[in-house]
Amino acid sequence: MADEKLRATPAARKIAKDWGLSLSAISGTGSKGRIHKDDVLNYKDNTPTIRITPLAKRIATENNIAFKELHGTGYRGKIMKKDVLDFLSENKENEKILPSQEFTKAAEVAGLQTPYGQFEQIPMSPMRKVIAKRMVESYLTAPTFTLNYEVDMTELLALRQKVLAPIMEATGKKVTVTDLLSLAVIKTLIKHPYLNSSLSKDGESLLIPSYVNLAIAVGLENGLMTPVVYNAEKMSLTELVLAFKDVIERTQKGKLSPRELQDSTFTISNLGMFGVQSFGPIINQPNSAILGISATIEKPVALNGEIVIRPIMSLGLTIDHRVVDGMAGAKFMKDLKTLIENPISMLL
Amino acid sequence: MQTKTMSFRDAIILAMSEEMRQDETVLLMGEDVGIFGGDFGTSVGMLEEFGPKRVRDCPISEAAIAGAAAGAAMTGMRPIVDMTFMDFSVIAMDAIVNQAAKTRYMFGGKGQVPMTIRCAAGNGVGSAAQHSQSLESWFTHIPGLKVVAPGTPADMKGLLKSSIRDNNPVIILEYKSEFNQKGEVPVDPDYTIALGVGDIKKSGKDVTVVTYGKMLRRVLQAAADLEEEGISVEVVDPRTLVPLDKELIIQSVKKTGKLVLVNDAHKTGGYIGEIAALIAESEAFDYLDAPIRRCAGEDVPMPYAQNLENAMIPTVDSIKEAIRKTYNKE
Repeated sequence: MADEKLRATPAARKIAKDWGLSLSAISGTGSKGRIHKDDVLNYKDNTPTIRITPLAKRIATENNIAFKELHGTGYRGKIMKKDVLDFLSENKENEKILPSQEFTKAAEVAGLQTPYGQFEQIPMSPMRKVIAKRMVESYLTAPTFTLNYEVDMTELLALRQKVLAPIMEATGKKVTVTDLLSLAVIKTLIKHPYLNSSLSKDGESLLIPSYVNLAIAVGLENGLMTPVVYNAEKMSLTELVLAFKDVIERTQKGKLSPRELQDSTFTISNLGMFGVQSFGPIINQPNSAILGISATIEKPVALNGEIVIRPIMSLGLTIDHRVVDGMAGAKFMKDLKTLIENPISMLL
Repeated sequence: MQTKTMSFRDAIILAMSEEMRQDETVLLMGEDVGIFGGDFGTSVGMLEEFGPKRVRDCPISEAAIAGAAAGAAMTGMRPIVDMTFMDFSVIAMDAIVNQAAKTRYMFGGKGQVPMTIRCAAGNGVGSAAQHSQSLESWFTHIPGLKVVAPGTPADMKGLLKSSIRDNNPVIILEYKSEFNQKGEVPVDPDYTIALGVGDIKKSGKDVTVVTYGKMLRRVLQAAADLEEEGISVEVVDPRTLVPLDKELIIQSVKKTGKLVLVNDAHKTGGYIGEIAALIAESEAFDYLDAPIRRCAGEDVPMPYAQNLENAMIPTVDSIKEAIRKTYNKE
């Protein structure tokens, strides 16, 4: 029979009381589940309380910065005025944040009556506002077009089954289809640098990096972030798996530093797990292209004169026509399709 | 400070001799202290230096020796009693507990009893059940007695001299198995250690271990071993049990949050239980982050067989295990 008594050391009880924490919410690591001081400290560190000074909070709010994403340098990670100002000066030119005069406090309106019924008016979160602004900017500045391709996933799925166990053994992580597709994308980008490039601020020159900083769109409860894996072209599959897992996990836990959202050269957005058949995402600027991955669906296809059932996936590449022409995009997609359908060539 | 390497035994002889040279009311009495040089050799050469009036061989009656010493102390002498085996002190209990410990109080401070009772305590030399006990808690229970348990030769010298100079009856424990243990001892005749002042023998941050006397050496060895395992042990040696340096222990426990207590005496009713209670009642309670753990002698009479004798009291390994358990929140 389970012993229901709550066990906690005097030290754990005292600090829990001082901080107004309920011991029943904390799990103990001591004998018979006894709660020790470090259990309370860990609990407190992992609960999403944001430590920020009042001054830093005011500056962040006035500048419409989602301060939850800032990295604090104060005691126990407290966000100080300096952290906010550093973030401001780094990002001002990127226009990732609104200048202060554009910021207006949203009216706190609980609900409004219309002839059809009520609606609720909810102020946008700072993250939501950044997303809105950046998507509009991207949509209005980049003349885009989308190339759709269907890819046979038979070989890639077979490869995944083969590498699943060894990578799990080496890293404890499960290699995903996205990981393998990313590897194919990285290999192909190196051969097609235009897809990996961006337009300079004055719009007069092309910036073509010799590296691949691959961003991946991560959906969150109330928004979207695109954390970046840097120098992905130097990574083995195992390293890539670890790097993706790391940034995605930290993004979901809100532990990403704002710096880790910058300097991407290409972005992948995977909505396959939701059954999307085909889509053309909006470019994550300053990238010049973004790849949308849709669901893999078993379809009848003609192969050598016979109709067979194959797992088919749709890819949608949205391109900024200022930088990349249709033919360059098509060549990229053709190579990518070939690589995915013959993934053994990734070893070359 | 100039020091010399010497054993506990030499430190005891030196401390007594220095005090007898500078104060002629100091005398040594007990069985075999004169011609034989002490049952444990702790008064070799003293009869020759100070003569039979000040180094007095006594008949085999601990009750008589302690009674005579208490009387001499009340009338102006500073007797040192060599009780030899601590086990024999129980024969002298009336003189110590009912006379020596009470006189100053009952006569409103008009009389005082400056006597020192040296007791050879502990096991380790194959002396079996009636000659191996550490009975400090029999005396710590009695108001009016001071109890001292040095763990190094230097502490022995400094504390024995302070005991002799103290105007109250003092029980001082000398561990039979440690008489030959050597250490650096200050040669300055004015070197003393005040009673009631403890010492951090090794500082650390994870676990506080309070110990004294014979167990100090084993605890320090255990602490050194555990340091290599990444456990930082603070070793607190109170040195005197009464009066106790409570503040030193409380501050250490507040720092580490974990307390292990080690002594060689029987666990039940042992003095370390008193320290556990002291911490539970003190401001350090709210800093405790693990149950207090005792590592003490077994609750059985001391066996003669060497393997059983060794198994009776904490070893370096059992002390390490106790500290590990506390550190690992067991």
